[in-house]
Amino acid sequence: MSTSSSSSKKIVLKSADNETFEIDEIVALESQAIKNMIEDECADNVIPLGNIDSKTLSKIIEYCKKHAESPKKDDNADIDEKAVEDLKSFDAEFAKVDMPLIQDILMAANFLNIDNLIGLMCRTIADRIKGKTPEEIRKILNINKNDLLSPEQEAKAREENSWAFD
Amino acid sequence: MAYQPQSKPKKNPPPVKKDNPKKDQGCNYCNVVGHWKRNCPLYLDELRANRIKKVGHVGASTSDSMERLPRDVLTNNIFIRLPAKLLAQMRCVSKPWNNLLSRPSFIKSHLNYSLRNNDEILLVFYDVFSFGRSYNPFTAHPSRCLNLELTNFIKLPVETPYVYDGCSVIGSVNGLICFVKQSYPIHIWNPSLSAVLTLPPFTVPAPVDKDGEAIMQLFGSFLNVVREWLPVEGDGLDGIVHWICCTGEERDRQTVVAFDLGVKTFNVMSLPDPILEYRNVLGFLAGKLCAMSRINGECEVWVMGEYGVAESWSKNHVFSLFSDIAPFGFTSNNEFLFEACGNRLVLYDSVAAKVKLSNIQARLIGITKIVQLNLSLLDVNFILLLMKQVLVTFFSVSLNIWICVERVGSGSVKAPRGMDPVREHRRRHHGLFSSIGNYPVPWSKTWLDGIYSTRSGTYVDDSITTSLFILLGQASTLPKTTKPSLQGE
Repeated sequence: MSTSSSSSKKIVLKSADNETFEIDEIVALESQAIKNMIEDECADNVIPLGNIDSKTLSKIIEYCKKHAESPKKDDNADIDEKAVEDLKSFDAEFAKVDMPLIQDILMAANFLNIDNLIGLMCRTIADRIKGKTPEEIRKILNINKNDLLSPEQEAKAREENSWAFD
Repeated sequence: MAYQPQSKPKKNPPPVKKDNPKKDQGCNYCNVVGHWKRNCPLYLDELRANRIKKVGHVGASTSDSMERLPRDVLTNNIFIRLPAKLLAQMRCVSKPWNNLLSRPSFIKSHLNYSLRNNDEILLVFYDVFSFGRSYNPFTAHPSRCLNLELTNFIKLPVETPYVYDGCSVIGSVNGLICFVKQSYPIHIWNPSLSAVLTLPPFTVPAPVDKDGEAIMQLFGSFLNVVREWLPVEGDGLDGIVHWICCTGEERDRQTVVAFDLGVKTFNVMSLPDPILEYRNVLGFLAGKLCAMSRINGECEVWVMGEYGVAESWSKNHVFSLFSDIAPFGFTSNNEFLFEACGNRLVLYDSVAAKVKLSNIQARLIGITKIVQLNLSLLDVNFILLLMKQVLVTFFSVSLNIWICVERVGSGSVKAPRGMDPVREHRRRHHGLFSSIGNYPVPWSKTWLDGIYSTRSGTYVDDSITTSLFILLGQASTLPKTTKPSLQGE
């Protein structure tokens, strides 16, 4: 089956700031949530995504397009090693964005239920805080100052988890 | 658990429509009569504009913090995917995170997730090993990329009462590794926490004379008996331990012995005839009991179609493309692990029908032991209290082999502050072994759940004592909170 047939069904998504995106159904199927909507036959009109802005949505569509075009693991036992590599480098490049956008994408991916993308964003967050001290993690993730541990609490937490600090 | 927004029940039902809205009251935002603030076009426009401004202002906004992610997204979708070590560091980041990441319910779901999804790691131990020496006691390889060797991803135990010397691994389950130091005592090690728990020593009971009627003859070298270690899992096979025993006068025939920890009974199942006399390893393939056997240089995998029915054994795979092949076992991802191509470790993915040849040496000296590891946050010091676990001990006394199945830590005991769970365990342990002399043991009154004695004329070594450590039923049997719940069964 061709994945990029021009006659394939189109799905229209509408972002929070009223921008519309027309995408192939195959691309939209990357999202489990939209897939369910299509299966339940309630995706005939525009799908409004009131909590995702156009910037985030266009990033997500970029991701879904790439992944929809790539050969799926289950389809073919001997997948092209090159395609796998290609997808990997795409993912790496895709994740090179600021932390707030990563969090926006993560929230949206979570809402749309795109498992691979959730995984990619989580790994990205994990990579960025790996090997960092709690202070640095707080800075990177912008932790609310009211939620900080008191010095005594932090000392206790550090002692209890001393194995994790090299 | 996969996040499925569409299946979630609506938490907030739509508000009840007011019967008599005051038609003359204007919008709270622009004071125009005819609409409310919630559908005021001016207000909505501004909201949208703000939203765009905020998003367009990537990087510098102070309100963008992880805290705006809903808690269930944080725990179910983000934290659950992170490695245990990172999570422990993140416990020191903020109060809510500390609470969130220390909850037993989170530790449990993190473990379940990593068991299902994470790239599992194979640890290869050659012969006996030692901690506290300059060299690593094992090599670690992710199963998806066997040739990659992971270094320093595990911290070896540091604060040890003595150097763990001459240790051998028994097995691993739920991110914990069980090993014995020179056959005794038993240690439980969580590599991701670099924590080691030493189980208390037990006193070897005096041999008991017992008339032969209830005693099943299990001949065989003791080492063969304990060679197999399996986590307790599989469809409908929860709580049953399986291992291979040698039977027959010449100890040349093998049979599967199963112990049901729930009803405390032993069961013997025969292996298929063609592989009876060869070296076999047991495992589970898609929830079915299976055996891998080396027959004349080839390797065969047999699957028991219907559990407990000896006639349902069927040949599932034959590997003949390798010249010299020896089985190691099965991984939880339905992969076969064996040695082939002249001392190299090979994984065969039975679902994708793909062979992964590695450069890892299958043998170096002595017996190679390979364990699958998932990194977990389980604190070994509290598994005795939090988890229902069973310790199966094989030991030989005089001419008897005893197989002792014992429940340690009932899951119903909560350690009072300052109490040493190990000491508590030791107390019970001693009680346990002193009661062995009164075999048969009244099950309900002791910690002993099952005991089995075998007789045989010859043993490799009378003093060999070793153990099989099993955590029952995966983590699903973990209590939901730290609060003690009375034992279910």
